[in-house]
Amino acid sequence: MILFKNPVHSALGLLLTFFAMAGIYVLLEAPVVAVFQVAVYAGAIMVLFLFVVMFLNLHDEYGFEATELKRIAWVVLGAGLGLAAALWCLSLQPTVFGETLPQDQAQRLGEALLGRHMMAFELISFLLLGAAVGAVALNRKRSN
Amino acid sequence: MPALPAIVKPLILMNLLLLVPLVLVYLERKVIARMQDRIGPNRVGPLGMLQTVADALKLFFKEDFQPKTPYKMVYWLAPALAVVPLFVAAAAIPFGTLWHMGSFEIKPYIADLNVGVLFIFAITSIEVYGVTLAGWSGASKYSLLGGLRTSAQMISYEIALGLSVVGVIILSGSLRMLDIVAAQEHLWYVVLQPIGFVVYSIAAIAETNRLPFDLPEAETELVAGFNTEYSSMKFGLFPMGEYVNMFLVSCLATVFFLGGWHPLFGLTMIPGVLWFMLKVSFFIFMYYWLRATLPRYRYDQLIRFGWLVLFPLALFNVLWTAVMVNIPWS
Repeated sequence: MILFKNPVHSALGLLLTFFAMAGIYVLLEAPVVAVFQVAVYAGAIMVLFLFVVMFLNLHDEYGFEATELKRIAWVVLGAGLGLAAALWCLSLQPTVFGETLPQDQAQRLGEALLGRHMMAFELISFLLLGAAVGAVALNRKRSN
Repeated sequence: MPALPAIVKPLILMNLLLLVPLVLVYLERKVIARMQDRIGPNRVGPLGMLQTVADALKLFFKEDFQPKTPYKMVYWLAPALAVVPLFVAAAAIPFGTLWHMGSFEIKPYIADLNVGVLFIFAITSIEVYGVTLAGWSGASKYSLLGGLRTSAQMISYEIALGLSVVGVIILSGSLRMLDIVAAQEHLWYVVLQPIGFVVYSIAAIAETNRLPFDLPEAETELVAGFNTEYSSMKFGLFPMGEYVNMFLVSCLATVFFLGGWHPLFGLTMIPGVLWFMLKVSFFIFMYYWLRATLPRYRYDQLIRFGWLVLFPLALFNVLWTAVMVNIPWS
């Protein structure tokens, strides 16, 4: 994400990072968090980021060309990572995703949110509502 | 060999999904031709059945013209992003219940996730990027406007789409696709959730960019919109994604509202997978019917309808279902 000069490419890099994080959550046996990560961050928030970056339309960064050396470095890095990942995958026992996981994670999350952390949950939703209303109010053109 | 089904089943599903657009396009052209008192494709192959195959081959062999764009990587990535999430999401759809073939047990689904509903909505929300980036990376104002417009439409209707299913989740008490279907053994949710079903159907049509909401393909104003700068099979991936998405959305409607693989009128001798496909075809036929019947919406009407009619309706449905479930006598 920080390696690209073009802001849209950086945004896409961030998107990829979100996916990688979702993958880590799955490996940590927390599929609910992983799915929320993809749905909320990758699916909703990043689209808005992308919109903003596109609307800013930063012209100065156009026409950036990768040099030959950089390309070779990318290929070597990618191939190395791919090889490492492949070797690591081969060393794993084949398991089918979803079979060994606790089945009531979503239920427990819901119970925690609307039970023990009810107050915080509701307060945060009010905070977000306030932020949304504030953003609209600030952007409104004053008509005299 | 426990790993064998894990390899074979995705291969089968993927190839089926690749064939789905060919079949759907042919059927669409035939059905709409009938509705408009025409004959439709009838030259290539028997009854014109190979017409779409010929069209697809033509797309492959067309010259792949690329615009002068500074965003080569994104330009290549966008068509893939429009298709790949749909194939991934299809993995979580249960096409039927357990099949017993001698001593074998065949599960007609790939992944039985306990958060299946969330998984599908999360993965399909990625699809917006394909359209947005395709519009942007073409470095043309027509495609950029088309792309922005399409993403605004898809994001707006995704909310109504997601909310319309919440009622189903409340009733079944599970996010697992198999549980949702199992809960409809005696009564389909289309009976208990009529508002949810209607909102889902309308939002699904907008989500797949089909008539009467096919604003993304505004030939008259935007020279076709987000896919203007694409040609050959890179262009072909967008309509392909659209048809796979249609199929996917119909599968989801079947799972959420039409009882999945459960038979109608106690006709249990027809296998569940076949029932599932019958319901899916019914939903897809509705798509064709609407396309042949209704004119296109205007863009402001579309967005207003999404936010001021569908969204409140879906919210009301959630509230109503939650209240009804908690009343002791029901």
